[in-house]
Order: sequence, then structure tokens, then C-alpha cells
Amino acid sequence: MRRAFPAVALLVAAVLPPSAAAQSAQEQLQYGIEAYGNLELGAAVAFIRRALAASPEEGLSEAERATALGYLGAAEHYRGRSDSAIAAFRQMVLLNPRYRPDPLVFPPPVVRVYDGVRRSLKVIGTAAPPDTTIRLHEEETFAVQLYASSYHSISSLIAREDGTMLRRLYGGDIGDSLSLRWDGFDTEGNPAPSGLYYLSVSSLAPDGVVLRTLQLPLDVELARQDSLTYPPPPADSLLLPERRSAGPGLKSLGLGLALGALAAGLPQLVGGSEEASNSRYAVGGAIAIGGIIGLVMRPPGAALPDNIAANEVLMYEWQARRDSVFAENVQRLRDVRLHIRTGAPLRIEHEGS
Amino acid sequence: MKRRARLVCVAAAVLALALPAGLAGQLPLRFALGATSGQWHVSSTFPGGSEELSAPMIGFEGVADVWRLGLEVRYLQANLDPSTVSTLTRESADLRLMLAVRPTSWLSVGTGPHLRSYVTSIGTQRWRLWEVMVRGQAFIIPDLAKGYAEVWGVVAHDVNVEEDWDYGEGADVGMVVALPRPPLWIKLGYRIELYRLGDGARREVTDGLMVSLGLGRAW
Repeated sequence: MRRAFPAVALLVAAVLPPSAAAQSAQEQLQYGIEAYGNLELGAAVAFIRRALAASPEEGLSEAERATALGYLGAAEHYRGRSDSAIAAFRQMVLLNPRYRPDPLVFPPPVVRVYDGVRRSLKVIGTAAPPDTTIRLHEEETFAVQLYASSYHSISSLIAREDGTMLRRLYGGDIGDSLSLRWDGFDTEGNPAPSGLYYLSVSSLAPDGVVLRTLQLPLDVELARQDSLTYPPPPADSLLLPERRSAGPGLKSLGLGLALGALAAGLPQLVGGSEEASNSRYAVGGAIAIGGIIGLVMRPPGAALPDNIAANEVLMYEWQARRDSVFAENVQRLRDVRLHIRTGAPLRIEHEGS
Repeated sequence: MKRRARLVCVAAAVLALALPAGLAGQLPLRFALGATSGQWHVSSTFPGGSEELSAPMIGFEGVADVWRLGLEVRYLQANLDPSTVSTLTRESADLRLMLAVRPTSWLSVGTGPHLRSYVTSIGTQRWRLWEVMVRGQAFIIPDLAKGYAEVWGVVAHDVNVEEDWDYGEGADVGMVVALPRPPLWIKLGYRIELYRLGDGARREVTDGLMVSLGLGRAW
């Protein structure tokens, strides 16, 4: 009865519409695994292939696909279809070089076939954080872990959306794994502008031919704080004159001389010139001398210490504000952040791979 | 007369000295009071002759300001001795009150009574005048000395002389030097007055040098 279950299930699956079959990809994988366990290898292959054929949205996860491919390869191997087994294992390696058939589940011959396929392939897998923010100038880096199916040479770089190179990251051999780090700068040491980039890792044949390239999309956003505007220097209208102008002194002199002359000539103006006493000349002279003293006390061009000190305070305050803004701008200039979001990796197979 | 005037002057001086400087500085009022001295010269021309008189004068002057409004008082007296032959000695007393407003810091306009008496051996002349005054003032030496010029005219009169009144006018030019602490001020001025009576038949010109020394804020 137990042995009959996968066969019945296969029959039911065959008559169900494709959409219904796709919705139960995990079940079909389970049926396939059970069929493999019951040595119903044909049924197992059929269930697993149907499970793998499901659309990515409704189908298996990456781990489930790796499991499915492992069982598929083993089933094909025991069915005597080595090419199909190798093809399944090849897909498994391409899916993720880190996956291995469980040696507790699969017998050594199957594992050996898989290992042979893995060693013959030059494949790179990645593990990258989906969302990373690094601070430039702070020696922070964006790290991507590379995993290789086998020892081979790779060339990795950051490429712009149009394919041109922004920064070469690594060129050399990779054994089991390698950590790639990008500091966010281009080749010339400038922060990468915002935009779409690709982390491109090419696997190379011993002769240098590119076998396949793994492209990891990087959505980069450069966040830089706006620099502050420097405060303008104090307006001339705010600065006090540091040298005395001729006006006040001359005004004193003019007023003194005018009033002195007025005192001396007052009798003529009033109409008593004949009778007036001479004391008016003494008064007029005293006022004129007062005007001269006023000029001497406020000589044109004399330094005005109070105004100079007030202006120095004003300029010092402005300089202090300017220095503060300068320091803040230096800090802001250094505080450049790169926000990196990674997308789904894309593998490109080149001719000859 | 002399004794009474001397008493007035002494009382004014005592009052000025009693004014605490701090009180004047804290209130929105301004007081200034000082003793005045100088030389008074009178030239009188009348039909048939003229006379010249002169003498030292003594008196006081003061001012009380409330913001832009001020009350000014000045009292002067002198015993005018003739410097010409066949004239009489005059004992002169002169009191002027003036209510003034200051529309700007440099301009004052005022009006008030001006009383003057001449006491001679043959009688007493009493001049009761009402005057209108305009005064301009400005610093000659900043915060230390102000110059001023003042003109006035008689707009009403009551004079007990035989002649009819024609007109009266005058002017005053001088300088005030003030010290902030203590609040002392010295005023030096030249003043001249011209009065005409009897359709020009009599002409009185009074002028002189005045020096005042006072206490209180000068401005």
C-alpha cells in the first residue's frame, strides 16, 4: 500500500491541471523523495522534475531546489542515465557552490559523481548583506563573501550600469571562499556617485578565458550632508568708524568762531553799536577759543579706541562663527555615507563554459 | 535795596548748594541754580542829552526743566553810577521769568514777564514787559561746553515814563561749560538790550558781560 502511494500520486498529478501541480511543488518534491526511498526511480524523477518546473514564485526555494536536484541526480545515476545525473548536479553547483549532497543520505558513488561535477565547474556564489550603510573615510567597507565550487582564478570589479569599470576589487585565485571588500571609492579615490552598479565576479579558465560571470546588482545611494553657508562678514554699516572724521572737529570750530563773531558783532545786529561796551570782544574771543579747543579735542584722523575695540569684538565674533561653520563643514565633508542595497545575483554564462 | 538784594542772592546760593547732586540726577527733573556777576553798562540818549552809566552787577539765575518744558528765572541788580556829568545814580533791579519749551534739543522758545525798576533820587521807573524769546544751542566741545545765541523782543509793556513806548529787543550770546561731577557749570555771556521810547526820542541800550557759577545739571 505504501509503495502504491507515489504511483497513485503521480497519476493524480498527471491528470491535474498544471497550475494545481505547480501549487504543490513542495508536495511533489516530497513524493519524489519518498519514491526515491522506495526505489521507484522513474516516479521520483517525474515528481522532482515537475517540482522543479514550477514557477519561481510558486515553486521551490533555493534550498529545496538544491535538495531536489540532489535527489534528481541520484535517481538518474541509479537509472543509469549518467548524463542526466551530471546535468542535475551541474545545476546544483550552479545554483550554489556551497550545497553538497548529504553523505548520510546519498551513497558514496553519488557523492563522487557530484564531486566530479563540482570540481570540473568554475562557479562562484555570493553571500551579501541585503542592506548596508558604510561611512567613507572611516575605513568601513562593504563586504561580500564569495564561495567557489573549485579552485580557480577570478576577476572581480565594481561596474557602472553602462558596464564601465568603477573599481577593480580583486584579481587572483580563489580556493574555497574569499571575502571581497569595497570601501565605496572609485579608482581615483572619489566616492561613488549614487546609481546602479554591479559587483561583477568573473570565473576564469586557466588560459584566462572568462567562463561565467556573476553579477550582483548594487543600488548605491551616496548620502552627503550639505555644507553650511559661511556667515557674511559684518556689514560696513555695523562697523564703527575707527578714525575720527573732520566733521565733528570742524563743526566745533565753526560753531565757536560763528558764535564768537556773533557776540562781537551783536551790537550792530541789535542796533546799539555806538553805545555797546567792549566786553563783547572778551566773550566772543572766549567762545572762539572754545571752538578751537573743540577742534583740538576731536582732531580729524585721530584713532577712536572705543570704536576700534567695538569693531574688534564684532570681527572676532564673526571669525568665531566662521571657524565654527568651517569645523562643522569639515566634519560634514568627512561624514559621507554610502547606502548599498543588493539585488538578486545574475549569472552569465559565456561561450565555452 | 542793596540789603534786600544781597539777602536774595545769599538765599539762592544756599538753595543751590543744598540741592543734592544725586537727587537732580535721578529725577526726570533738571535743576540748575547759580550766582551771577558781571559788568552792566547803560547808555541812555534823550532829547537834549545823554548819559552813560555802568556798575558791577550781581544776581542769580536758575532753571527747572521737566522733559521739554522749562521755567527760567534771572535776577540782576546793580547800582549804576554815572560816568558823565550831571546825571543821577540809578539803583536798578531786573527780574525775568521765562516759560520755555524745547521742540528739539538745540532750540528753545519761550515767553514770560520781564520786570525792571530804576530808582533815582527823583523817582522810580517801573518797566513791566512781556517778552518772547528764541534760543539756539549746540555743543562746541562735546559733553563739556555748549554755545548759545538768544534773541527776544517785547510784545507787551507797561512802563511808567512820560514817553510813549516804541519797541524793545535784545540778544544774548555765550557759552556754558559744565562738569558732570560735581555738577558745576560756568556761564559766560554777552547781553545787549535796546529800548526806544518817545517815537525814537529816548533810546536805552543796556549791555554787559555776565559770568555765572552754578550747581546742577547745565543740560
